[in-house]
Amino acid sequence: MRTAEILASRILFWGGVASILLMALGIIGWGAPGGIGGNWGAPGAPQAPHERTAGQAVGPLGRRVGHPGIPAAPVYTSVGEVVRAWRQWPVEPLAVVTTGILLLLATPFVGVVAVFVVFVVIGERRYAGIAAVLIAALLVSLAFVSR
Amino acid sequence: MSPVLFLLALFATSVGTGALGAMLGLGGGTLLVPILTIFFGINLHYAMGASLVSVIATSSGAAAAFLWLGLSNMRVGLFLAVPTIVGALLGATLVGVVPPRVLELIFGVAIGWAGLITLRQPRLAGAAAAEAHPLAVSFGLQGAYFDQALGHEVPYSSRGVKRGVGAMFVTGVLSGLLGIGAGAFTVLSMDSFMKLPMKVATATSNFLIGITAAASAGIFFGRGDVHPLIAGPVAIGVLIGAYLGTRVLARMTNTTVRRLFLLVVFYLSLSMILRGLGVRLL
Repeated sequence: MRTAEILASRILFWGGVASILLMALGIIGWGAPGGIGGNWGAPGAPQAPHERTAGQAVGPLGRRVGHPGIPAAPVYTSVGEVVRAWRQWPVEPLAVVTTGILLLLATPFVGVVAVFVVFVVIGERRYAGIAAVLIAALLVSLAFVSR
Repeated sequence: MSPVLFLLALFATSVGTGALGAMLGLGGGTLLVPILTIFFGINLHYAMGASLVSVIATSSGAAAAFLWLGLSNMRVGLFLAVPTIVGALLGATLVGVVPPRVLELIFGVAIGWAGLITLRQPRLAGAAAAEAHPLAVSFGLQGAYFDQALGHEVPYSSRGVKRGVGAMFVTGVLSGLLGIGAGAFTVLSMDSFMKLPMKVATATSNFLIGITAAASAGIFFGRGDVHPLIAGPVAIGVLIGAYLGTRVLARMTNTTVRRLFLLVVFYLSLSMILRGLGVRLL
């Protein structure tokens, strides 16, 4: 059990650190002079995932933005959109922020998977079963982001 | 306000909220959602999405430390995560169906209730180990931790396991529905129903709410409720604030903390209830 606790502890810690660093990097890149944040929405600027069709204006952003301080910006809703953003150069800074968010979302899942493996190895069947149920529940959630 | 200034204000507020949340034991999310909604005018769904991301960030940091120290009970955490996560998935799915004003009303009542229950005096960690529930024995939901204040190891076991499971399901629904970690409710369930020592309950809750929030956050993300320009600065700010808050907490008296707690929680609770009823304080 101690092995599982230490392994989960390390995964949570380093997963948290990596995701926060990515978020910070993306935000700095977005806000830096000359960053894409300054000209988002300008003619010729790349289109945001939810700003493609005027009629569907911005999906969540267009419908829900409630403060003039929030600039028009892409709100990614799937891993596929983020991967596509990474394939473009320069990489859209908010795709970097979203990657950090996705990494953070995945961190507890990776932790539970690691714990499941440890339980299987040490023959702790009951808790391996519980961990498997949790993995299944988290997979349901991840299915929403992996479209 | 320029976008960059807006982000800086959001970041600074999140640092303050994270610090206050850590000091008051409510967690960042419970305070964050009403603050983002009331003072920043951010849409409730975006506020909830940002809150959930910040909950995972703070949970990862705290749970990593508590697991390393052996204060979290991983068996209890995993066991209770099952009903909680099922409730959270249900709650997060309902968010798209329940009107925002009803959500604001539920939120106001829930944080008011959270305020009342966290005002209770925590039981002493050194209380005698309770008689274990058969389910607790079967699932190994007992353990021991070294209490530095008492200077010795404190054994404990779980009681009221069935009631604890039921309470955790409800907690999960609230967490998913309101976009909060619901740490106060989690700790209450483990403390009141399962009779776990407060320190173990708090440490295990940190591990548990990260898993629950991750499950809900996936649904929020897929729905487009996780705005990177809101969730990013908020998560970083709350994490830094929570770290600072735990430092400040050590220097504050219980009376000061409780007065601050009462003031903040009940103001936010009243504001959210009134918003739900269509009355705006600000």
